[in-house]
Amino acid sequence: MGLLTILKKVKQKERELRLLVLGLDNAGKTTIVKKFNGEDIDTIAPTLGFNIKTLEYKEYKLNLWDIGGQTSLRSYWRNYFEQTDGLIWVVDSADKRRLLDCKAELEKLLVEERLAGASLLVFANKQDIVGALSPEEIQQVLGLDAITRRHWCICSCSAVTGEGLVAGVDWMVADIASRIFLYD
Amino acid sequence: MECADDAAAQAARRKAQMDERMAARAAEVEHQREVRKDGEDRSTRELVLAFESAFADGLARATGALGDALDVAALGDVSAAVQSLHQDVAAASTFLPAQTLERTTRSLAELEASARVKREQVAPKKRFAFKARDKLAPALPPAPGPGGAGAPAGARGTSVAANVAEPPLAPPAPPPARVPGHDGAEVRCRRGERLALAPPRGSGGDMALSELVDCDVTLLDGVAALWVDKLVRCRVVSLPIAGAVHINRCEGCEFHFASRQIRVHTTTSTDFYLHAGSHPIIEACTGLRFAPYLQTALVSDEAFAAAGLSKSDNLWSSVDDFLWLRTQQSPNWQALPEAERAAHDAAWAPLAAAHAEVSAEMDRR
Repeated sequence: MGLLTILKKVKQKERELRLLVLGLDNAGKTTIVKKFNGEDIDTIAPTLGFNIKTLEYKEYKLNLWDIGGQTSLRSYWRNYFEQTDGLIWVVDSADKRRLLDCKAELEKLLVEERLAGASLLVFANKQDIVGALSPEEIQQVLGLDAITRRHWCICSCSAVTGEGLVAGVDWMVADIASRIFLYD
Repeated sequence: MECADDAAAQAARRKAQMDERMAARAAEVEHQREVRKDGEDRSTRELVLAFESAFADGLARATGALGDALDVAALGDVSAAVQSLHQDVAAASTFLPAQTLERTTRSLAELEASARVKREQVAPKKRFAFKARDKLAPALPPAPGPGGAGAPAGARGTSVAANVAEPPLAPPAPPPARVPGHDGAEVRCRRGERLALAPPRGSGGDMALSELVDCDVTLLDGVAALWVDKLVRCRVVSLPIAGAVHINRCEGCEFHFASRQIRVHTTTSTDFYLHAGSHPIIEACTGLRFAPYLQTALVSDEAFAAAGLSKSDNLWSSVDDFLWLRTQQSPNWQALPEAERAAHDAAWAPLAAAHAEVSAEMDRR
């Protein structure tokens, strides 16, 4: 157990990325995580509490924390902020009625000190639904262009078909890796 | 001569002393070199030893406490102790050899398992809790790629931060957020009407009912997502819905829904007849009653299949109350006694009428 071993251990740990998946209820957080993990998505109930998935992606180990989005659970979100490398904000693009709620909740997160260093990936989910808003419209309503102090990206996706998920996660992983891993 | 002998003896003694000191010094230098050489190793080893003895103590204490624990509170203490052991292990994981780490983790897991057994004995069911087990062993088999690798359709804006000022603590000026209009059908502000509705074609099946009083609403085919808000004393009967149903701020209503997800918020004194594909959830509700969706020939098996529902799997009674995280039955809802359930005919009459009307319309055309 020399210094080298210790260093190796630390480096192994660095290959782990902690991603927090948040959004309003019914945004499709659990569906996105399960679809990405190749699991069945037909019988997903609203999340009471949270789900954690650890999965290997490329040479990284992703720890995905999927926290329930019901109003009564949102106050618990902050318990999961610590040491988050990336925030995945899931938007139900077809839910126009609550888009302003969605904006308000996101704004609350973005001023959070413990999330200051996290990259932000916005998934404009449910693009398979006719009448869903385009990512450009969502970008505008959420006011993403005003974010200047962190790396962000908006990706359209459909958790049901799986489209766009890989692209989004790819961006997230590459962004975090370039930010915190010196040897990449 | 004596003098000379004396001097020689003294010199010899001095030399011996000197040699001794040299040897001691050499030994010390050697020792120091050694210490310096494996200082890292040594301190780690000491840390490991210290950790191991502390951990063994803690484990023994927790095991003893578990043996003595007779009630839930005592078990709570035990699990708190286990938690702190977990934290210690996590903190020490950077310097612990893999073998030790594995051993400690295993013994902790064993302790937890026996604590679970004990808990089942003491208090029959567990209360809801965020389980430490999830944190410990999330290691699922590495996932293959996700289904469907889609093109990165959609806009990709990446803005890189530089030396820009303060975070917008107070949001700067109310945003001119223009939410694009809803293009689904929305029915609102009606009183005492009978309505038979279906979403317009090409709308995606999004449908909203809001601010209705004393209305009798029938929803026909093609609804993919239903938003119900502020209904008072209304009855809503719907054919199977493909997506989710959201109910918010209703009072004294009767709802008949079949859907994959059903979410009810801030609603009081309302009866639900559900065919649910997943656990229905309620939040901030009181006086709700649940019953299964009424079976009728008007709703075909195909309608169920089209909405992605299986006719045999109905979770109407597995209601999750987000504000009642205990094993005991939530006081906010109950199963509707069979004697008080709505009669099939009464509930489905509007649907039958609507169907008759639609077919009459078709005939006319």
